[in-house]
Amino acid sequence: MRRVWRETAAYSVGLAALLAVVVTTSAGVGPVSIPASDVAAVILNAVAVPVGVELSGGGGGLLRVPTVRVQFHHPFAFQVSETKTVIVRTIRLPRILLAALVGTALAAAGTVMQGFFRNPMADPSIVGVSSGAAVGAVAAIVLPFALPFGLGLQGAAFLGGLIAGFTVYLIATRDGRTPTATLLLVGVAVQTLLSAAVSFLLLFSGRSMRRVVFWLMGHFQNAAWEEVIVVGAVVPPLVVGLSAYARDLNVLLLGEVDASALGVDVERSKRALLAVSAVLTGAAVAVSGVIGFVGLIVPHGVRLLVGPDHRVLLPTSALAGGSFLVAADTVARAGTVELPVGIVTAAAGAPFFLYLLRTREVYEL
Amino acid sequence: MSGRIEAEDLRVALGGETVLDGVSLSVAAGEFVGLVGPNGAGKTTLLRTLNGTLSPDAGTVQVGGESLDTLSSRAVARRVATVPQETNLAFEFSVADVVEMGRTPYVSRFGRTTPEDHRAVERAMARSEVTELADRSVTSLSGGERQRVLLARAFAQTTPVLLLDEPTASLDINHRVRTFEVVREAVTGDADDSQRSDRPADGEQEEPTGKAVLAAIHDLDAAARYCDRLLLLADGQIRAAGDPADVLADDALAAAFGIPTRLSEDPTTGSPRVTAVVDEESS
Repeated sequence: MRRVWRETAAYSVGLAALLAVVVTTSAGVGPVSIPASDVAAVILNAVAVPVGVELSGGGGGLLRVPTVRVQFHHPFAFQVSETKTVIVRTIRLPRILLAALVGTALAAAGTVMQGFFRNPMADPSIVGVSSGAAVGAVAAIVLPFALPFGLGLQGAAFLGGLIAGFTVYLIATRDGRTPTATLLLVGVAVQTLLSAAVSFLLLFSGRSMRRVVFWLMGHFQNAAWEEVIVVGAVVPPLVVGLSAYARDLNVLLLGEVDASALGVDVERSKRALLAVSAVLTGAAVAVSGVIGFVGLIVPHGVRLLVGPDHRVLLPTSALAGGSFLVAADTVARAGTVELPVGIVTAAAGAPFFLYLLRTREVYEL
Repeated sequence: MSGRIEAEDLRVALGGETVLDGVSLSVAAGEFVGLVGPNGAGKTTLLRTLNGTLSPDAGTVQVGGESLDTLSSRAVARRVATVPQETNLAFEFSVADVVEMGRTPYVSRFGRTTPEDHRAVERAMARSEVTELADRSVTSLSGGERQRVLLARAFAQTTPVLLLDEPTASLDINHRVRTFEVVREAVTGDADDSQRSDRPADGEQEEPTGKAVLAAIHDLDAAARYCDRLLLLADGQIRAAGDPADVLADDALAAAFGIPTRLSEDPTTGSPRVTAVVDEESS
C-alpha cells in the first residue's frame, strides 16, 4: 500500500546513486587513467542550461551534444586538461551511457517477460525479437548489396527484431486471444528458424565473419552520441510507460482468469506489455548486438532483494540493469584485448545465477 | 448499484463442446443461492460467464440491469467479485498485498491507492478474519487461510454481487462453517459497515448492503443449510431450482448424480440432509 511508494523511492534513489558512481568510475578506467574528481568535473562542465528563445529542435539535455545547435549557458567551469575532457566526453561517455541505456532496456523487458510468462527462465529474447534483429544485422553485414530503403545495420536489426516479434505474436494469436504457453512455444520455434538463417548467412560471410561474430556476442565499440540520443529518447519513456502496467503485471501473476475477474483487460494488457518490451529489446539489440543474461539475471537478483511487487521491481530492475551493464562493459574494455561484453555478462551472470539458486530458496519466480 | 444478477438463456461452448445450454437464472440482492451439481456439470463455466471472463455464445448476463458486454472489464469487476476455486499464490506477496489487488478496478493506471482503498482493504480483512495475517507471505499460509484471503480480496472489491467457486472444498469443518457464516453475513448485511459508527464520510462509495451471492457448493448438506435457494446444474442445464428441501428431494438430483439418494432431517440444525444410498439391497 503506501509503503510501496516509499520503498520504490528509497530503492530508486539508492540505485540511481549507484549508477552515477558506476558511470563516473567507469569513465576513469581505460588506457589513460583519469581520477573520479576529474571525470566529475568534465561531466559538470558539460552541464548546459539552454538560454535564449530560438527553438531549433527540443529543449536540450543535461549533456551538451555536438549535433544540437542551441545556445547554452555553462554554470560550471572547473579546470580540467583538454585531453582528459576529450577522452571522457567524446570517447568514453557515449559508450558508457549507451551501455547504461541498453542495460536499463534489457532489464526492464526481462522483468516484464518473466512476470508475463510467470516463468523465471523468460528473458527479453523469448518472443524472437533478438533472433530477428540478429538476422537483420547479419544480413546487413554479409549481403553483398545494400539493403532497401537505405537501411543501415542498426535499422535492419531493429526492423528485423520487430518483424520477428510481431510474427510470433500473430502466429500465437487466435480469435483475439494469445495464450502465453502458445506464445512461448511459437517463440522457441521461430528463434530456432531464425538462428538457422543466421548460421546460413555466417557460412557465406567470408571476410566479414569476425565482424558478424563480434556483433552476435554483443559489444559497445564505436558507440556514438547519435546512438545515445536515439536510444535515450526511446528507452526512458518506454520504461516509465511499462511502470504504468506494474499493477496489471502483479495481478497477472495470479493467473489470467483471476486477473480478468479483478478487472484487468487481460488481452489488451498483454498486447501492450509485449509491444513495449519488443521495442525496448529491439532498440537495445540494434545498437549493441545480442547481449545475453542481463535481462535474465538482473530481474532475478533484484526480485530477491525487493520482492515480487512490480511497482517496486520494475523501476529498480531497470536502474540496476544500467549499472550492471556499465560495469560489465568496463571489464570488457579494461583488458589489453577488448572482449565482447556479452562474454562478460554471461561469465559473470551465470555463476551469480547459480549462487542465487543455491543460497536462496528460489523455486518460483 | 443494484445487486441483482440475471442470466438469460446462456449458451457457452468450449473447444467445440457445449458446456452450458440455455441456462437462465437470477439472484437478487440479499439472497444466497447455491449452485449444486456433479463434477463437469458446468458450474465453473457458468460462474466465469457471469463474471465476464468468458463471453457466452448466446444469451445475456445483466447486473443491476446493465448488460455485461456493454461494460469494460474494470466496470464489471466493480459489480461482480469472484472467489476462485484455486489461484496461483506461489509468489511472495503479503496477505495485505493480495487483498489490495481487489482494489484493482478502482485504481487508475498512474494513480495511487487512496485512503478509501485502504479502508476497504482493512474492512475486507477484518470481515474474513485475516487481519492478523496481513504481513505474512501468502506462500506460508494453510489452505484454509488462503481461502479466507481470497474471500477478503473479493470483499475488497466492494461489489454488489459475489460469486464463489467451491469456497470450502479444501477446508476443515470449522473453517467451512466460519466461511459460510461470513458469506451469510455479507448477504444479510448483519456485519455491514454501513451500520457502524466509523462509516466513511459522504461522497465515498458505500459498501452495498446485502450482496447477491451465488456459490458453487459440493457439500449438499451445507448448501441446504446456508442457502436461500438452490440451483441444480447438470449437463449444462438447470434441472431443478427453488427451496433447498424441494431441490434435494427432486428426482432430478438422483438422476444428475447418478446415484439414489435419501433425504432426512439433520437432528441438530433441522436442515435437510442428503444421504447417498450406496447399496440398496443390504440396507
